[in-house]
Amino acid sequence: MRRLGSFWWAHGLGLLVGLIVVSPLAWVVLRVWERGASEARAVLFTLDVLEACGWSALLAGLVALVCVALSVPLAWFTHATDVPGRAMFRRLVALPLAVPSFVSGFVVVASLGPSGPLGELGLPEVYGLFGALVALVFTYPYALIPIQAALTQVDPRTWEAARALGASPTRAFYQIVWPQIRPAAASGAALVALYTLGDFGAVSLLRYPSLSYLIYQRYSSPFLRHEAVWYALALVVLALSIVALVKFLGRRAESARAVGQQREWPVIELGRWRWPAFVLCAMSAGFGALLPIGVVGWWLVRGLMAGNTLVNLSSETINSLWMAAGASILVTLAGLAPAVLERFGNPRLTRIISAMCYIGYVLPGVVVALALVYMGTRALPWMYHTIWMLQLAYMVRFVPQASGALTDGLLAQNPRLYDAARALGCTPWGALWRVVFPAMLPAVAAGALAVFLSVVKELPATLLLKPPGFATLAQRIWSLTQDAFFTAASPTVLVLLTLALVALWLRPDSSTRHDKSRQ
Amino acid sequence: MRLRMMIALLTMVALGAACEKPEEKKGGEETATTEETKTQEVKEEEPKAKELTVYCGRNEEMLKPLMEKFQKEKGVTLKVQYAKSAQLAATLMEEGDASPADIFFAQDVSTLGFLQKEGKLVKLSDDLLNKVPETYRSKDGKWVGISGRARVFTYNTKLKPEELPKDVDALLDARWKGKLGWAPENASFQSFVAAMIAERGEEKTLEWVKGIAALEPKAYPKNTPLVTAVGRGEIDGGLTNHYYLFRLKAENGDDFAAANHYFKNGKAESLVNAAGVGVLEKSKNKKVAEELIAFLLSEESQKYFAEKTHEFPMLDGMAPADKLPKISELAPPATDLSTLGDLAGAVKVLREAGVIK
Repeated sequence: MRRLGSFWWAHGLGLLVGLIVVSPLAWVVLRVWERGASEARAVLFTLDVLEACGWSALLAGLVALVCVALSVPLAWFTHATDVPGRAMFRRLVALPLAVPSFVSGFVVVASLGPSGPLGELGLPEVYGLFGALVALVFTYPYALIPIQAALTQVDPRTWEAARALGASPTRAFYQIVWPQIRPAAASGAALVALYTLGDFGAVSLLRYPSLSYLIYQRYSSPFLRHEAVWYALALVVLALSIVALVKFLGRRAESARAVGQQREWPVIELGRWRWPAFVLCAMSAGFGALLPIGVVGWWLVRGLMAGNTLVNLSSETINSLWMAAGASILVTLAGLAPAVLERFGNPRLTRIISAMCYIGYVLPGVVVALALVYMGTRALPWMYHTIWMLQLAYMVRFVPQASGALTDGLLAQNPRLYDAARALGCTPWGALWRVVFPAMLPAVAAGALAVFLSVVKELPATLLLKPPGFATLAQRIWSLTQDAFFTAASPTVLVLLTLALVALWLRPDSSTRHDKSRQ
Repeated sequence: MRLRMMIALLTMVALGAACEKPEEKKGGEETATTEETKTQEVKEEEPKAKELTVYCGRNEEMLKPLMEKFQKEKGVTLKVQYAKSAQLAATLMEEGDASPADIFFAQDVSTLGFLQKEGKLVKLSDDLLNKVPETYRSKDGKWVGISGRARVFTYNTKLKPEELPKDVDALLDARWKGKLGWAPENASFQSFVAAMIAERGEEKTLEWVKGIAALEPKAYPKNTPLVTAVGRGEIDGGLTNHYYLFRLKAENGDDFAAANHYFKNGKAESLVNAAGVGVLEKSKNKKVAEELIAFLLSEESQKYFAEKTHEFPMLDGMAPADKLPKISELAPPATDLSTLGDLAGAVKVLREAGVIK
């Protein structure tokens, strides 16, 4: 107890959260155990599985690379430059986050396929790597949002000093700003890569032969499902190696920062890069948000002209809204403990807990769902087929998103802040509450927002664990597109996008907050 | 400031949870109380309301009106879980004896066959079974077909009638190189392959699959994009189920340039699969479950399936809509549908041919 210091409670809580998150893995291991080691050789160590691992790693790597390469300039341009419409783009560029992968998959096929509007451009075959990559790049805001949050914590005086000392803008960015946002970029890349590994929406719609696709296929035939757990195990190993790699790449850069009094960033003139930057912002927001709206709007117009009818969506909308709002509070709270540990915890225990948290994120939704079905009916029968089961699933799947954002916020703080509070007589908890937590509000908001949107879009666990008769927007979109009710699906997609848009708009913008408090 | 207060509140809650430590227990109490009120409600209502939990692998849009009608007419509260048939079957297996499900409505017979094999289904009463031709029900009486879905060759209407294949072997012709579509991961395609194995054996089936694969057909993840591609003229035709055409015509308008070709040749390609239901062994509401089946097999519901989902009604002597041929005219193969329950053989062949992973 003494070795854990005054943060023993965070260790306990973090361990509890970690255990909840890895519980589906315990089920996977149980299932694998039942099948016996001889099956491992037959199922796991085949060329097919190795190949699928390779395809998974390739896709995850490419998607993460493209997303970070896109997010860093986007975050920077919309942070403090003179790009036209900056304030608007700040929010607009995060909009693609609203598009679930089972929708972006459709959009990619409809627009980039041979007879789609962009099909004439001589693009590569849409089914396969190219299509899957495009459909998953829609997730770049998972990287963008933490980077944006990290940028607001960068002290502009460091930039100004570098510029005054004669550094070019590029050099000042690379030497001063980049090291400070690198941890956020790394954890963003990890989130995107892990999302890609576990995603089945895009890979199944685009027939990309990744490991998650194999898992999805095995669960499409009831008598092959025992193979799926082996693949899930392989996926976890792959995911953990990615986490390890990212942790290694994202080693924290020490940098001096003064947080006490935030100053406003000067407007950085981009010069001849102003309009190219504008085009990049406009294209990201446009391609990410307008393309789905366009495709879906086309379905709507075409279908209404052909005489199709629409459905009432009020209960779905309300259900999605309050499930997501509830989860964003619960999951962010749960993510607080691992985040506090990253800064104050026993390093070894912290590493274990944070690795545990990532496991839930990477386990494919259908595996998490079936594990919770198994455990729920046995251990928590009173919870089975209630919304609490769903909330548990959301916690398992999305805690790393919350704790990742919170960790970034916490680590971006000047560590002396806490020490100063302690020296001035605060108890450890008092220092957290009065100094550390208030200063990480943008990170809390970013984490809660990411969870909110993930829950709105979540499908595989929702489908199997929701109370019967309980409908959400994502579930409706799935059931409507499943048998080609495209007309009726389009308003549902539009409502989901609207919900996400409103959430993104409500996101507290830290830079304006500072402006107000100074006045 | 407000945000600061909010976070203070939230952290206080977190602290509270941390102090009490057994957080799970706390959550448990909360839910337990809501659960209590719920069971109280049920108790009060019990004399009036019967309840039935349905796991439904069929599409919600298509089934909802029927389910609501049953609910109204019979005063039964239906709790319907809509998801993919195979995933619901997997869910049933994980739930084990604790499953709340009473009745399972599957998209095709392979999942029903699987559940029958696993001993999850109970024998239905003969009254129900006898309403449906023998072909479309389980030999052991464990499931019964509700509506039929035929395998067809959906083709782009630019094709001339004399160009249409008389059987699937005609598709091996070089004329179809790069012009065909299929959905090899799809369960209904795999059922067709299983029927072919029953008909000509594994080796010859593998030969056929390899022959088609050599023609570089376009592979689609599902039937919907396949039929869409046919209508857009991206491919000339593909092996699929008959009803997708009607949905896509409804969405795209009548100028959607695709039509169905029924083989009607008594071979695997003329297979008629069935969407069907089974009652679960562990159900405590077997009577009500059978009422639902009787309702689904009533003339009215069968008419609904014919008109709204464009399927073949199962009821003897009932005509399909949309000028479809009668189910008796489709000349399906003699294969027993129950034996198609196990798609493992089909999967093996398709994997061996390198068509699926």
